[in-house]
Amino acid sequence: MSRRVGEVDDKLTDQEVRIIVSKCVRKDAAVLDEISEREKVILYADSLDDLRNLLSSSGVKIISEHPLVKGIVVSGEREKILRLILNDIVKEFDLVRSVRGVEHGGGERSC
Amino acid sequence: MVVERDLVEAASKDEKKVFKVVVWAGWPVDGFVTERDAFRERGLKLLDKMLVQGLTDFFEDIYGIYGFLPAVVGRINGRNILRLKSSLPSFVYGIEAIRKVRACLKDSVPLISADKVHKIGITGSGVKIGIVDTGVDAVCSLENKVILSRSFVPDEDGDYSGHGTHVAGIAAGREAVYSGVAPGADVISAKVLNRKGEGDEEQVANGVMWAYTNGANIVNLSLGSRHPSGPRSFLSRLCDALADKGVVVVAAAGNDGPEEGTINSPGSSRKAITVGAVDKHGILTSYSSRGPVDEVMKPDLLAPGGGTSGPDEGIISTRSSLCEDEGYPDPCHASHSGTSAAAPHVSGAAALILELAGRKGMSIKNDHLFVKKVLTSSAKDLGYKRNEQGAGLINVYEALKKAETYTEEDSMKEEVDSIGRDLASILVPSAVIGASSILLGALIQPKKRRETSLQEVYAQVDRILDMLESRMFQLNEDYRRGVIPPDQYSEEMMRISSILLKLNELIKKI
Repeated sequence: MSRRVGEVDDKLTDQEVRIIVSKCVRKDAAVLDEISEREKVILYADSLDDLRNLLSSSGVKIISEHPLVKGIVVSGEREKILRLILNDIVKEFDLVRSVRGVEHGGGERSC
Repeated sequence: MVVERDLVEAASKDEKKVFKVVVWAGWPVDGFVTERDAFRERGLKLLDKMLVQGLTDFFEDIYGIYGFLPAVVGRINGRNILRLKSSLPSFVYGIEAIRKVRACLKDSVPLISADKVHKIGITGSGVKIGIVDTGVDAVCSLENKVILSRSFVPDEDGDYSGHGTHVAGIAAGREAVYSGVAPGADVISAKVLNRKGEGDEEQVANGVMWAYTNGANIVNLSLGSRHPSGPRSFLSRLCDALADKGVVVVAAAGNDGPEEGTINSPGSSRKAITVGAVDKHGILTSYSSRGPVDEVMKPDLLAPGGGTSGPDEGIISTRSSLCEDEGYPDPCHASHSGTSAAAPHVSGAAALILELAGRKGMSIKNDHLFVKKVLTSSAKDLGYKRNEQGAGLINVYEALKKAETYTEEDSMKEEVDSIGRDLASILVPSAVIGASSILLGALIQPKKRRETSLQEVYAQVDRILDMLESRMFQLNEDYRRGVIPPDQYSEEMMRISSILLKLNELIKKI
């Protein structure tokens, strides 16, 4: 689902919405609909230390750190996540997506 | 194990009937098969001799002696089966019938010439393959093969899907007839997908990193994102970073073909070896996902993944004991198709190449680049489009021949090519080709001539640096004026920084 810029959240300015979308790896405005407390989000930074410091007082939950990609997976309130993304330390972000075994026919089988 | 009951019954009914069987041997020479030295060679020869001397009288024909298992495959009549049963030689611990199975490793391993490599004693010994999947059940061909395992799936352990066990069997299963591609390799199992074959990128990333930190030389990812996801996605970035560390990263292309642009993460990783699928006849399957992926040409290679016209067309590999019979009448085997099955053929091939490199004491700077190079340069062109087949169908035997002659020159060429590709992504390609080819020429020519052209090399490096500087200036301007978004600015700056680091490393070698 697409939505107009500025329609996403009353608390975000148009400029903030543009920044968030531009920092999204997939550049897809739909990501704004998808960020929620249930979703894990990976935040990328130039410095993992800076990102860790930023997160320490942010009120979001750190789930795991991934130094090789300079990223930290977090979850938490939508509003807090959005504010984190707007911080200059966060260079990019993406939602942590589901994966599946790629067996022909969907890979969804169970014994 | 003794003589299989069904086999004894059949032999009792007709003593003249001839059965195709595998005779398993087992005695304290197992140590021979794990040591990589002359002692091992001698041990294997001794083993072969003992097997032949001890069993020749019983066999009508011997098809093969598999010293590394150890086992002998051949035909025995019913009478001799009963003789063996009554006085089993001390070094024989079991005899079982070889059943007719359908399209399987028996077909797919020869299709990629891995059987020829096994015959010269290369089996992937000493190499650890990380299977990041639904878990691996260490049964049948995988017994004693899983050296380490861990679950990253909450409240679930064991392979209740069967997917990971099937994948591991293809890469490293060890049986007399239905052996995997690298029967001598060890398996490290990271369970990241649940019993439905589902998980998320974070679980996978944790599993990949755990396998890496526990010594996996190769990481096999027979999984994919359900969402469109390019080279900048989480798993693709992680694959790139691991490849830079020298871990061989192999990813399934996905089963969303035949449309173009259907490869998702982690197959969309720039550096991973992305694998599409052919059927047992070597024909590209319609389900195999096609490239390209953004600016990257994918897949890189094809390998057997099985067809879809029926279960007979699948790849038969190891079945998890936690799974019920899925239609295949054998407790040890299951038949499945997909690029999930193609990827471990390549992971197994990588193990064979790495064993060879280890044996020869080759100085490899980056195993991933080395393996990718020899596999792609030796692949068989099947005549499909580049975005369908990559370099073509892997040929393990030819890859090993390439690997044997791999030189420092090739290694440098790969590094220069890598810089060239990075440069081409941000600069005018023609300028890059000229500069990088001169740089390459200077790096790989004989030492005497190198001295004479040192000035020329420095001139080219200067030229590349000038181009990068000019591009950085332009980027800063564009960003300041708001012509390009912050993410594009940041991405290009990171690429330039990466190129500078690579150039620095390369210049040190001159």
